[in-house]
Amino acid sequence: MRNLKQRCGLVAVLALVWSSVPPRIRAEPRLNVLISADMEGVAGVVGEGQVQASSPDYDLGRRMMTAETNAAIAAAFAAGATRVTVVDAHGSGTNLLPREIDRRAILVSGFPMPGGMMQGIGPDQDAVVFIGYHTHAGVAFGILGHTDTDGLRRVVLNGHEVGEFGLNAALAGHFGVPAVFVSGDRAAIDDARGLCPEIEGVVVKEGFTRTSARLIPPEEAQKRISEGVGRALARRAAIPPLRLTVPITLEVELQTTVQADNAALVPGVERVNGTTVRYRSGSMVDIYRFSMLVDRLSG
Amino acid sequence: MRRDAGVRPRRAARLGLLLSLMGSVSAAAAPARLKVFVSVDMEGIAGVVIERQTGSEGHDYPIHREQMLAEANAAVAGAFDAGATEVVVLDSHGNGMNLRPDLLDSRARLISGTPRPWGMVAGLDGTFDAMVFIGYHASGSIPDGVLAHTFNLSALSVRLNGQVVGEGGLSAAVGGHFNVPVVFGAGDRAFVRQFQTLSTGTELLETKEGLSNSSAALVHPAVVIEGIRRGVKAGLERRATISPWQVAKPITLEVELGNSSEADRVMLIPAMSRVDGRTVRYVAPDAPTMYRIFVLIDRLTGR
Repeated sequence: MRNLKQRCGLVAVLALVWSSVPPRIRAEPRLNVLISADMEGVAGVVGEGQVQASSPDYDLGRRMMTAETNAAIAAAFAAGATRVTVVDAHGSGTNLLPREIDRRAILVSGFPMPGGMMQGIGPDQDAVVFIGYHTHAGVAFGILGHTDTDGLRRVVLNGHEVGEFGLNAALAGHFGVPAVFVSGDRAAIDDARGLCPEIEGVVVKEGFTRTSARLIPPEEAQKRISEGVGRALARRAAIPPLRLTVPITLEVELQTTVQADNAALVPGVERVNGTTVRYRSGSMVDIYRFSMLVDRLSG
Repeated sequence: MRRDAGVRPRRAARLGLLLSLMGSVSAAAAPARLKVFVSVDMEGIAGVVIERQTGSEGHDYPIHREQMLAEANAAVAGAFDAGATEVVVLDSHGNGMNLRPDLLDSRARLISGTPRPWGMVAGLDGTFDAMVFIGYHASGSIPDGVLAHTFNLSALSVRLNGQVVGEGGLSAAVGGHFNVPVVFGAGDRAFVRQFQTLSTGTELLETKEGLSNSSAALVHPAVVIEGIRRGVKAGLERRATISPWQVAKPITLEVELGNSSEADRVMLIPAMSRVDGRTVRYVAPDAPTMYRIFVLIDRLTGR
């Protein structure tokens, strides 16, 4: 008894000391967040001109993208993030304005990156947040739907047609990291929920056609993103990573037979038909890199 | 099939005798199979010294294209002089539409157009007995190589198991895989010198002596045409003394690219490794795999 009392006392003292140690030293549970930011799915954007750096309308897309990313960063830190990494995953990767990005985040900029839109994904990340995402090509009402460059007509991963979201979420899943949040147009969110039913999704516009939508005011969209990221990170333990059964099969339908001729040069590639190639691997990392390579060859 | 079933035994025996006689006759009269693959490039053609002459937009292109055709036809003629039974000509330059189909020796079959996954050896397989290179040139880093390059201009240096090779070496390696020797090669002096490093005993002809990348002392085009016809015949006749270029397997392909950005792109190829900022390495099980990887690298760079 006495012995036990002494021990209890010791535990109490230790607990007191522990709680007085500043959080940094105390090593709170790690929460490293990777934000992959694209542009087609940010609030206000409906046309190609708004996402192309050469166009005078581009400034809108870039500012919305920066503001939505900042909303996500702030929400992540409010939810206890220990590190936030932002990948500028659109076009040349130089859209987010470095001076305007929340200074607590690490910005990864430029193109090409060896890890593509998911540069920095690995076992040291704990959650992935997708901002400004869109559907793959051919989805009705998907604003500016496409996959990588426009060379990829159809991408089928283990039998499911996917776009950039699916490829990226599966790559995160390879490392056991869940895709916890996605924002974009209505069709993109529906598409993402089809793959990851537990994901927290925020709709920032509802498409009428590929290039028209009913918009949610940008500030309202940013507020919803902020709240959504907070909710997603709070319940991240309940959101499973997207793990694919291996071996993984990727089928890519290209626009032309010449593009498929080029893709068929890659060792291990099977030609399904004139415009479609198939690749198999036990690792989503290989599959992801193959998708980047095919995109390169057909761009 | 059905009608044959009713053939009476005597007739069948006579037919059998006739067939066996025909067989022995044809074995005696028809020469042994001699199938020749002719790969025709343009930079090493007689008279060509600057890039403009080799592009379909260049104003002197028709003149040089005509010479390219004449050299290809000389090779075809030389092959048939030596008893060739089949000749395939591959238009290996640019868009692959330089040799006019209507003006090529009608005994040959032409392979035309690009892009092709097998580049400058498209159509080659183990059924061929000999290869011939016309209009070939040296690789990029050779100072006196006229219009020296390898595929697109960004591949500065290509090595197979450490040995620097040009397009000639790359094509020869694929031939070697199928046990097909390069019996004859025509190109500028730097091409000849570079090809000699393969030590195959190939019959070689200089079409010009390079003074820089874009100047040369020329051998007269008419002389080159005659030399090709004679040389192809001579090479084919002594083909037993010419060895196919068989590269030791596995083959380590190293390509030095123009810049590190190109190497970044090439690194997406599965199993590719990086030697330094702009040099990549791939270990291929055999020459055809190596060649396809090289074509893939070419597709990813320089354009």
